[in-house]
Amino acid sequence: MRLIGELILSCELDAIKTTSFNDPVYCGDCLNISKIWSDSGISELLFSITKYHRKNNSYKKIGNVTGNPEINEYFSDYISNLRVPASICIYPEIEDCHRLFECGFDRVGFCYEKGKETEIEYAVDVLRSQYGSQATFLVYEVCKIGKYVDELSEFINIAEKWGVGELIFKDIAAENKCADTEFCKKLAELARDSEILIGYSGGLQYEKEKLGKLKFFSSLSLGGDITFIGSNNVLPGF
Amino acid sequence: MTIKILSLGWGNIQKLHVYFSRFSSTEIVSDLFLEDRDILVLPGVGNFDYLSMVLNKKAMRKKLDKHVNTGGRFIGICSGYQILYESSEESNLPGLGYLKGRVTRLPRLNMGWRDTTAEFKKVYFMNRFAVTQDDLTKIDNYNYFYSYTLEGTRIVSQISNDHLLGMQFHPEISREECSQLIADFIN
Repeated sequence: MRLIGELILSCELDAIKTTSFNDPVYCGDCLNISKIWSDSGISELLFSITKYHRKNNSYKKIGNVTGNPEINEYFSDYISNLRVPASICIYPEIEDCHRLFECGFDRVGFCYEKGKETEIEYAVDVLRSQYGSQATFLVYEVCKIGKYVDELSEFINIAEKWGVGELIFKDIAAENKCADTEFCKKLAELARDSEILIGYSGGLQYEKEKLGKLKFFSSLSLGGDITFIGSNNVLPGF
Repeated sequence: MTIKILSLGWGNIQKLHVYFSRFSSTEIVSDLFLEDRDILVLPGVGNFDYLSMVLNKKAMRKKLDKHVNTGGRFIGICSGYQILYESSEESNLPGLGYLKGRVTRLPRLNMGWRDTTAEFKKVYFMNRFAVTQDDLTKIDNYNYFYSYTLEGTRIVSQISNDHLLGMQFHPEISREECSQLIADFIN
């Protein structure tokens, strides 16, 4: 079983938690939390940086964040001592990616965004040819992009063509809506024939319905390994 | 004796440095100035093509050959282990050819903790390419150990003799699980 702890970070690299992806609240220093998770037996840590900035003890959502230039200094000497592999999801800035690998991250991934395909494809290509395809992943935020069943196979083909190591579908059951059974079904079908590893978070209801024994897991890596992607909101203690 | 981790100018080698420092004095080096007793570590983040291009350059290759041919010890990790074979499906360029076999593409990424046929427990894999049992020509005096991917492909997870230790898995992540293996090889 792969248990991935996802730490959602603000632009200032504070760990935050949200309610239905709104109203982020500071919940601790991300390095402390990741150390606790790392020692507690999870398989991997995934750092996701959001577009939230702290201002006067509250968080203000802003747009067009291009990455935090201090990120490497912050993580350096720390990630190397973690007991688990560490992945980070950032904007496809090549120089940032190189520095993150240098400071100890094992994988760097990008959130898929319409209109940014060329940029992401270029970044994946550069990183893949230098670090290997296993060092890259692509995140598809379902709540943000939408559950477009018709476009799924096309999207998976694109990800395979780009050569990413893994494709993670996140936030399927966002905003307290039930998981989309059709979406999960189609995803499961496509994943069986896919060359890349596919994981998704959400889909709890579908799994409960079809695979009773998995009811405690809200995620399943369709590559065959059970994967639980738990964020600050749901992992114990947070 | 010093463990020398070869840095080719990219990649995550800090974790390796932290890990190997527990066994002996460890340095990150960018060129191969090796003493007889030094152990060379070829790290595991990288594409076969890129590694082959760098390591097969005349000066570097000469130093590697000298180290291996004079009984120097060598640890290869992940792609740093794959490059020890003759060729790879990932590249048109040749490998170093110290081991007989071809690296092939797996049906999909092999990532996570897996059992191996070695004595230790689970170790961590993160690889898209591997040497399968079918693509291997065994050499006398080497010990071979295997692991299965989730799709059931039997891959060579570890190969060793007194001078060479190749690991498809990541010891810097597997840590305690394979510490004895590394300690035995080093000592």
